[in-house]
Amino acid sequence: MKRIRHWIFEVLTIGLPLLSLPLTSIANNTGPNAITGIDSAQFSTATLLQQTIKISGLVTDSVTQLPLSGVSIQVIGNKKGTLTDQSGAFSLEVLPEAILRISYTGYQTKEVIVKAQTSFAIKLTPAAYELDQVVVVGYGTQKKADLTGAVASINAEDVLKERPQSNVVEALQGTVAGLNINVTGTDAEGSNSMVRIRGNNSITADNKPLIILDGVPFDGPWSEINPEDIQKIDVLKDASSAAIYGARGANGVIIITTKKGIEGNLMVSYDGFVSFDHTINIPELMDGETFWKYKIEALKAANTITPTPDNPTPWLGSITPTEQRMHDAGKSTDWLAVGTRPGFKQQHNFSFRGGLKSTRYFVSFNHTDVKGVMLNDDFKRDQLRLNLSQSLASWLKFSTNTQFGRYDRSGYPPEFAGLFHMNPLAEPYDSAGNLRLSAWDDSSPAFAKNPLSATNEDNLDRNYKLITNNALEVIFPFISGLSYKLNTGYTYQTNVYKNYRGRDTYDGAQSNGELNTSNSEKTDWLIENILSYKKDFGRHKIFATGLYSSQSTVSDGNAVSGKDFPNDVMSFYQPSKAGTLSGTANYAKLNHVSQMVRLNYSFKETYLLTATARRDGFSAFGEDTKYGIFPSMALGWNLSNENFYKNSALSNVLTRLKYRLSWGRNGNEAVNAYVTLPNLSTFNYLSDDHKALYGFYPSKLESPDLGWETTSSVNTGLDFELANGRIQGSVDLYWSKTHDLLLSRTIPSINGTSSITENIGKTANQGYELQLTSNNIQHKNFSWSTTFNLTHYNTKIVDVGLYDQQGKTMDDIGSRWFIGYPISVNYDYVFDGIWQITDNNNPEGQQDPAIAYSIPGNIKYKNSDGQADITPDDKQIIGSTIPKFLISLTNSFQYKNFSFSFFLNSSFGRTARNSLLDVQDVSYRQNQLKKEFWTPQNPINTYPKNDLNGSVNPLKAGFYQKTDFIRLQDITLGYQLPVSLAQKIHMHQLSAYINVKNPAIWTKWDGLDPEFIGSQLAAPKTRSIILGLRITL
Amino acid sequence: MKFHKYLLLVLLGSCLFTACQKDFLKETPKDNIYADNLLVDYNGFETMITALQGLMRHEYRRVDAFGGVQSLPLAEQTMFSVGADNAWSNNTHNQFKFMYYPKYIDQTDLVCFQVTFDWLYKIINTANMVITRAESAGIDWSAGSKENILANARFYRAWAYRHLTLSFGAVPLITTEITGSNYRTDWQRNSVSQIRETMAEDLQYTIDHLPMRAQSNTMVSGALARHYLGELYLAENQPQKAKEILQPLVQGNTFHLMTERFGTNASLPGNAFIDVFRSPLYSQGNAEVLLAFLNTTPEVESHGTSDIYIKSSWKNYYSNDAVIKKSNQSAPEYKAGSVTWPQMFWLVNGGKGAGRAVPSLGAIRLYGFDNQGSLDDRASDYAMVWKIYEKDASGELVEYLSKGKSPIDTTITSAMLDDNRTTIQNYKWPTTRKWDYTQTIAARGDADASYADVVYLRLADTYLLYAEALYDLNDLQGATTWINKVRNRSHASSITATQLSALGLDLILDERSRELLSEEERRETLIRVSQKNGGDEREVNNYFKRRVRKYNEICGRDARGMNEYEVPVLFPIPREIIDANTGSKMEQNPGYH
Repeated sequence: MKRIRHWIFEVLTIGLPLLSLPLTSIANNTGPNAITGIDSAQFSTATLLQQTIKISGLVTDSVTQLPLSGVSIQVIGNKKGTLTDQSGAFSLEVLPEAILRISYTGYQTKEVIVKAQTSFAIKLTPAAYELDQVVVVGYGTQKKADLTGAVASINAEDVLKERPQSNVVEALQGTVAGLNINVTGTDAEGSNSMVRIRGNNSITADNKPLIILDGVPFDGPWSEINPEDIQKIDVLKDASSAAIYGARGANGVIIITTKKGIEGNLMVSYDGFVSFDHTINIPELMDGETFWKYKIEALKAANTITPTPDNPTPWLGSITPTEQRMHDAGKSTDWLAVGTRPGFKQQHNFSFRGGLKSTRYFVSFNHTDVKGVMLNDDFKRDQLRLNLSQSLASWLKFSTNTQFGRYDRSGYPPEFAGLFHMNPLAEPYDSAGNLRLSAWDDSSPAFAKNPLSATNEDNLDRNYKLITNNALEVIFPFISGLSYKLNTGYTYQTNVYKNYRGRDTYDGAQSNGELNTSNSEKTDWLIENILSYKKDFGRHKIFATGLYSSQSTVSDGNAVSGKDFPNDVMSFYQPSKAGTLSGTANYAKLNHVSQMVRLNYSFKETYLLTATARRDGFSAFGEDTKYGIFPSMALGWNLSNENFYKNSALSNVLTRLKYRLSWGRNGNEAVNAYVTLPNLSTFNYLSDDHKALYGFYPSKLESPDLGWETTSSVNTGLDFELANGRIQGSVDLYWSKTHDLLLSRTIPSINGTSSITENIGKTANQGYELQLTSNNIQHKNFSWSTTFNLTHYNTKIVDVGLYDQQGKTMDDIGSRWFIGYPISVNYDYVFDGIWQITDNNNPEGQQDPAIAYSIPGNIKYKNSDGQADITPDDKQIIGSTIPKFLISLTNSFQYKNFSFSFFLNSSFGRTARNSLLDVQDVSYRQNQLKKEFWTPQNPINTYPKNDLNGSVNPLKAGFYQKTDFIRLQDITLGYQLPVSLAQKIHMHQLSAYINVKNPAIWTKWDGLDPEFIGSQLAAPKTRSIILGLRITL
Repeated sequence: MKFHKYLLLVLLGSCLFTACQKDFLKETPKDNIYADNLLVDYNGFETMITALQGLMRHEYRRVDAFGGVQSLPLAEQTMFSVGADNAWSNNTHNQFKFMYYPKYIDQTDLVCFQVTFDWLYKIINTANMVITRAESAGIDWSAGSKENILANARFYRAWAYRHLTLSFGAVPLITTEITGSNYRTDWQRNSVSQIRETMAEDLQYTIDHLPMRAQSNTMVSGALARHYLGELYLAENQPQKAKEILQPLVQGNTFHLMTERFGTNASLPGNAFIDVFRSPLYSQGNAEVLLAFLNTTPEVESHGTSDIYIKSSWKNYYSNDAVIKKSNQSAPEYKAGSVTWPQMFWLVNGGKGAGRAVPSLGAIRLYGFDNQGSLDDRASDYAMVWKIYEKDASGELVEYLSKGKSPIDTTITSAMLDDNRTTIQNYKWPTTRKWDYTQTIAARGDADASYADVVYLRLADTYLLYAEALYDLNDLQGATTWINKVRNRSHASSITATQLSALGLDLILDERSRELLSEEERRETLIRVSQKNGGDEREVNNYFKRRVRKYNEICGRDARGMNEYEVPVLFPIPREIIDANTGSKMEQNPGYH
């Protein structure tokens, strides 16, 4: 019996990757207590009537040896409990078979069995104590000390609590070296972000990492994960770790584990915050008066009508009545101010956590309501989670991790580019307070349309999503160490979209109302059969895993659009009243089949080996190229376990040291269904009675041999610990090569289409990462720790499948792919100052007879090719689109019950085009950045002269700037009520915090935000002040 | 026993879920159509002919209607017509600078060249797929004739090559389907005459297999093929062949010029000439238009409709003129705020224009030939904008006058004469009314789109080609007959053989401009006649450059290159094509670097 229980325990901890920390932490305790943790179960059921005994103990920090006060000591399965006093001591009356759970914020929870012992010296290990952490490695867990690959873990306790966010992705910025998160825009949902692990390797295929939520691939926005549900996030960075996800692992894997039930009394928690957001870093655009001044100046310069006494200012003829009226009244519209509002977020999270011996549960409910800083930009989330595990028999266990959510994205914000560009002498609302459809009388809708028009649309956009992961685990009673898990995943999501543009919107007025509705659903099922064998043979440890799985994803949707409605009364409920109605439907299915084996072997806990092989089949690839095989091999050496090391002087300083070396091969399959097939495009026409005729034409070539894009990489790293954990860290170096790129390459359109997707070309990436945590000060009442992350990578194109006659690789200029440069480059004419007046006899004409554009005040282009004219050959690669370094720094302080932390994030070495500086060429029908223009009196070399139509920049060169920045991203001040006080008001824990986001940035970038790589005409960055409360009953 | 119950559960579970389907990874798309399952019968082939029809109409749509990296507010047609002798671009868009500053044609990487080239090869490859697959065995032709399908496809292929050869010169010739296994990146340019051999065969096939007059003039017909084959023979300096192929078309009674008022416009003030544009379909009684493009408002038919941009391109941007802006200020709807001022303005002035192209002063001057300026219907108020209208306070439509006269003005401003300043933007310049279209919804009054059925090719053009053939054959008398038919319909005086003899081919080119202003792909005509007899299209004194200098007060200015041999007139082979053609170096046209 005892033996079997032992197996259960062992298999649970290895076979259940999703187990919560408390349980796994038992496994980590290598001392005898850990094993007796199971033995206690015997007692608790067998002997109920024994007498209580009095026990006492002292709780200290395992690193600093300092006593810890306020540590919770709870008796499992019993309401009894106490706290340690100022000297770290506690005493309690318990039954001899009781189990104590010792928990303290920032430390790993520990459980000990009382037995007959009455005095305890308990050492708690800081949660951040790297090498003792348990890491989820996919289809299992491992101790960090046993790891051979580059895996980083984020403990939700630390990070997410210091950086409260309704969208978890923003809180993850800078937490892991090599995990790059760019927040690329602002919206209520927080959906504008780009997550990359070790940069981009693929040119055409998607570079986003695979996300595994509780063992099931998660494909959706980060906002659909409740941050409060997250226990832990593990990032598999190198190829050998990610190789167990084979064809989908090339971009790295992010494994998210949600909180699980823990044995003990029901713990009810409330976590909530409110956030007050406002826009920051808004570029200064021209106000009405400035705009008028420069517009008149430009119009006057371009004027061709001789002034007469009758018409002394003919150039004013272009001024429209609205502009004139606004100007005369001294009014100006700050469109960015009109289109934004103070944002407000609130998030409320309730959770219920507890369990009996055979049943453990975690239930949470999350309600998030965000009013974004853009007008009408709202996001609501309601999400319910149930995580339950139930032992059905001593050898069989069922578990489920299920979440159901409703995500409401209804409502359209204003068109932000429109707000940037709208004439400041235009009006958003008429005198009655209604939205003007045309904000001024420009004769082109492109300029006149009120950018706020979309806020008048009736819109409903809701997503419902169920993610359920259910598993059955079998521990084979007859073969020691062998277990089987049937893991299933099922995701169902449906979207309801209804939109009506009435006559109070610009577009609706043009078509007598416009209706768009759609329904779509996506289902995904996954079946995994996992066989594990874990056994120790003396000093040899073996852990083997085998997998057979299949997965199928189907998307299905239909959409209806209509125009020309008798009135707007029935909004989007009147498709039957449409003058014309049309519909579309779409369907796509992607299937996967996979087999995988993995072997972990360790000898004396010093020599570690991992080998995996995975075979994946994917339906979207060509008939004969559907399968790929992805092997990996990794070695680890715990040097600090060697006697020679222990005896050396080094071991006193560098208390732990491990070396890792791995090689692996991964795939990228990020292509859409049916990508290999030559489908036809639609091009319809009409019959003579003006009815539709349907037409098709070829627009795509088939790619019958399309297969995996493969990345091979070598990773080498060191994990180390100085002065018994005072400083812990790891450093990794890697080199990777990607070949058979899924490349949508440019071909001459003479072929009927100008691109084809093929497996050609190569890229190479190399980089290094450093992650350091330092416990600078650990005193009884004061502690200070610092985490430092540094990331560097450099991806280069090696080959794009083009060769010259000598066989040398060539650039693909058509696709803007250059050998030896990153995948995307700034390729443009180079700004080389401003043409100055050099010929005083001809101050307004061509200064250089060879260059037609050489008119004073015009932009001078760098002549790069030495040829006389400026031609496309003069275009150059400008700067790098990849940052040289990404550095982040977190400092956390603890003083008595106060905690304080701040987080700095930074990026160096990237250059981007600042579209806000673009020369305007549309006759001042759009607003622009307030600029200093060149004039003959002010012959600057930075910006051309004021001009109506952009002829000062005839080749439309862009302005490029460095985006280097250091951002103070988060400051958090927290206070936790002393536990003794909390208990007086019948609470387990009560804490409150205030968090400020983006209080400061240091950058020379002139635009909106240096991180907004996609658009500089988007909603500005926000600064938030967050007030939060956490209560545990 | 509990144990057995659970064991059963586990076994059942694993059996259910591990069951491996054989075709699990095989793809069967449901929401897409493929050539393999579409081109199996006549109806399938017919859908591709429909697409070809639509692709041809793209000529009147925006250049960027198929997408493109840059906004190109310009009708594809103007690419082929503006910047020659009879029109200049009244806009300063960087992409179509060559339309007012011909020397700036030299930017080989302009998107407008690329998308034009792409579009034409899209047509060719669609046609080639039809032509190649129609010959496959096992196709069910029971619903229609294979020859009919082939005749259509071959016409479109020849038509696309016509644009390519006349605008880009020698280009690669492809006559078979391109697939994922035979596509190439080592294309070579075939000579124009080589391409024309294939075009001639294609057009002859169409003539042989389609009736002269199709069921409707929105479809390909023998007439259409004859017109273009006649033009091809003229280009190849084979006037006799041109005469023979055009003769049945011009001398038959299937088609005739419309000399009397007719159609939807008949009851309104106007003349027969402009009625031809207002009612372009056979079904409306039009017997002159060889090919018209169909269109309809999206409220009526949402499929198959895509707006056209020909009106916006050729109509001037009157609402931006300082003086004209004063009109319509007291219109009741505008006062009430139910429409904006630009909407009001365009609702009473024939629909919005964006002034991408306007007639050159020379083109306008040509109507004055033989003192016919005030008599020629083609230069009348109905055919050209000489007046601006407004709604007065009482809601009446009246002519808007500024200081007692029309604000329309052909005075050459200093901006037009300044070669450094490219801001022309003369918004009081007259232009054609052929493309007028007034929106049906007031709030759309200022929209660029238009949804009228429009003329693409007219018999008048064929008459003038025929006259050219006769002229080339030295039949001056014969040539004048056909020219006069065209002139007389618009109440312009007859010309004499003496006049024709004195002015030569220029007179025919003049007449083409008078009759076909904004319809004719003028650059291509001038390139065609300049290349006749092995002529060099870059020659300084050929029809192209000489006429641009003579008639186009903007493009023909000294600085703008039309007196320099080096300046090309053919479009460049788009740089993207040369860059992407990595397997073989494709030569650029001369004059580009």
